[in-house]
Amino acid sequence: MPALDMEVGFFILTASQPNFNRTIASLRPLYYTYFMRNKLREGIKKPSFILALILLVFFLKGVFLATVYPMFTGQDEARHYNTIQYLVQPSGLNLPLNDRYAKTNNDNFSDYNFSQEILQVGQASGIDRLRSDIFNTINFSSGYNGRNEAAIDSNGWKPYNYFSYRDIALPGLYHQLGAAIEKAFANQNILVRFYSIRIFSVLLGTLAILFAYLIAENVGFPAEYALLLTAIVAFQPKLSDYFTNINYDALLIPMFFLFTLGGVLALKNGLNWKNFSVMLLAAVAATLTKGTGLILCGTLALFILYFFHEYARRKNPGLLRPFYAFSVLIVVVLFTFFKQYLPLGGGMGAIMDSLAKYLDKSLTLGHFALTSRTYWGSLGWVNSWTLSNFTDIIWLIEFIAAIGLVVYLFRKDTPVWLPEKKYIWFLLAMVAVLQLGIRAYDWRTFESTGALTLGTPGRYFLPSLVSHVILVATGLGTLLNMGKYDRYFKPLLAFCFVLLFSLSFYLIFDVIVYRFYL
Amino acid sequence: MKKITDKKILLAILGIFLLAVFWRFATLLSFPDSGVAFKKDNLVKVHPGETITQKFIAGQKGMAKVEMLLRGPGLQYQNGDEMKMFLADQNCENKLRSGNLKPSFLASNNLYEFNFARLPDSAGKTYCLKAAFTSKKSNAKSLQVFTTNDTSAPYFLNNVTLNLEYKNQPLSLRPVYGNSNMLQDFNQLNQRISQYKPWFLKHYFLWAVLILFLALSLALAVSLILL
Repeated sequence: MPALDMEVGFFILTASQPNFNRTIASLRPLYYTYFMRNKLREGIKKPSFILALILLVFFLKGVFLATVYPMFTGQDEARHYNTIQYLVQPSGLNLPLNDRYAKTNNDNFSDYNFSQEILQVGQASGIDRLRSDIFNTINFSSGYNGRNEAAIDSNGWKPYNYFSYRDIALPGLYHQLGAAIEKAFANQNILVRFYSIRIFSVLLGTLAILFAYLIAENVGFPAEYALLLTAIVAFQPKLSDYFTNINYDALLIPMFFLFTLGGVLALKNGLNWKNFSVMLLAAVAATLTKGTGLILCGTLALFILYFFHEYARRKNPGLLRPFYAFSVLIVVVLFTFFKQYLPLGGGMGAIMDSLAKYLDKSLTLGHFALTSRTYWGSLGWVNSWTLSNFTDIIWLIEFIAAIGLVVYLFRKDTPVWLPEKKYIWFLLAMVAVLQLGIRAYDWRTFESTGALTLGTPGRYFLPSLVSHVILVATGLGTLLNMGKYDRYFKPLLAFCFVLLFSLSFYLIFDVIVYRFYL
Repeated sequence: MKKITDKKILLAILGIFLLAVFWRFATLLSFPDSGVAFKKDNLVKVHPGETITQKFIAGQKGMAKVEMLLRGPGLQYQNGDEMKMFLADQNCENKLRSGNLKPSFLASNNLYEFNFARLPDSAGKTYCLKAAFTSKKSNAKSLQVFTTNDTSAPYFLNNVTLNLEYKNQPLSLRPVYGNSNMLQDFNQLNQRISQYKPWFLKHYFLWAVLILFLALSLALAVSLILL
């Protein structure tokens, strides 16, 4: 240990000198500097320090991005903020209501059925000019305040909705939490309220990154690999981007991560009240946030069945037969419940025909490429070779990793520094249930409208990002292990991190800041 | 000779990528006149060999670029199309700057730009912009340039001149300005980003967030590589 050697060295050196006390006093600052520097070096390599740094950087990145994005430019952001304002709106106001129908995809911001404050502030801040074409920005003033910012600061517009057909999302848990923030800052102008809720989304994202680390650590990766994987998740461009918006997915994604963590802990320590509570909390919170959360409820039920089966198999095989009968009942109940979300009307022939039409439209290379590009955060705002082609590099890495993952699942012996198979099967299941759930709902929408109106934009699959990254890492690690190149796993993860880190910076400064301000 | 370890290679790659990102950013750091909102109102056809002229007043000092809108597909470089640009004084005689019109970095097949060395004293001065279209293809199609009905913009004088007079139709063009040093550019960018933001995300607070983010991100990247 270098610090201890230095201490002993200093003692031997000074003890042999005359004027021992004076020498000690003069050498003390040098000794403490060296000692502290060694302590600092040891400290900054501690997983807890680096984890804290990852979380802090993610938070600061989120706050900066939340600042860079102008108001109401996030995905469905005005609609979600309008929902929050509607929840805060006092009841019994007897407002004169306009019967205009709520339309989507309007050219003018004023054509949306949002609150008076949102409509007026949007127009005052120049959102129509921003939306008119990609080469237009707002009309900037020469100082730190916008041309109409004084009007916005004066809080003269009402945060009330004056339309019978309000353009709001289905209010959920995220909106309730946002409403609490909106109420807490009720006497502040909309800029304070709006950006405070955006920062709340960033905080939720920071929590998600913490869950990502805990998942990576508990599936069995050594600390340094877990940190690198966490950093890769933290710098996934779309994830960072999404957590700067006012959108209910900002709560859904951390709840999916939390559920995954609960499942991993259950597999690691056995199902107990702690990890069951974590999974139940995550499933309930996700369901109260957005319909997609129902997937977790179904998964939780199947997960419990799995544990009961394992218990019966190991401790009391006599219970297996009644257990199987009970399982069939549970599966029937689950199917009956989830059937309402699937287009299963008509006979088997009609169902297969409908499914075939849907798959024919949706399972195309073009759709897959678009889903993947939006999943990774590619923005089509600039003529960039990097943004047009970086997903090709990612697909190559994923293809190679998929081969490795298949090998891993059929191998008898697996390296100790990779997760055990039970975790990999669980993470694969988490990816699969999300894919099935989203595509099932997309199929249902296709059946009723005849078109891919919902679609499968990449952001819908962000809740399985951690599972995805760990699966890719496991596949790559397996291939390296087969070739006896284990020592290259950490540099490979670090290289992937450097690529995503650089891509994030490129997107932030050369694309997003450029588009909105230069 | 010192051993080149994988950590050193990764640090070098990180350095190269970040340098490339911020170098690119430095080249993009200029400020279009945001008082001008581009509109695609009407079109002027320019045949090979023809020149269009537009006089305008630069609103600020440090003009370094002029942006124009062309109708898609725009300049066909594979056919040898070229739009030679000349910036002259108000009499359209003394040439101050020249160059070629190039597509913008923005993903718009309409936006083109003419970059030139910065004019420090451009504020309030009248300039004459000439755009001469040439093509190596013998039967090249005409280029279509957008004009605007917005005669309220204070920067446009007269009308576009070609062979015919176009009444009240200045070109859809926008001057772009730069400051004399990068610190002034960053200050101006800070001002733009600060607009329509709450007090805790403006000015010095914004600087604090940005500087902390950059410094800690770099520290994190280096820590992870050296782990």
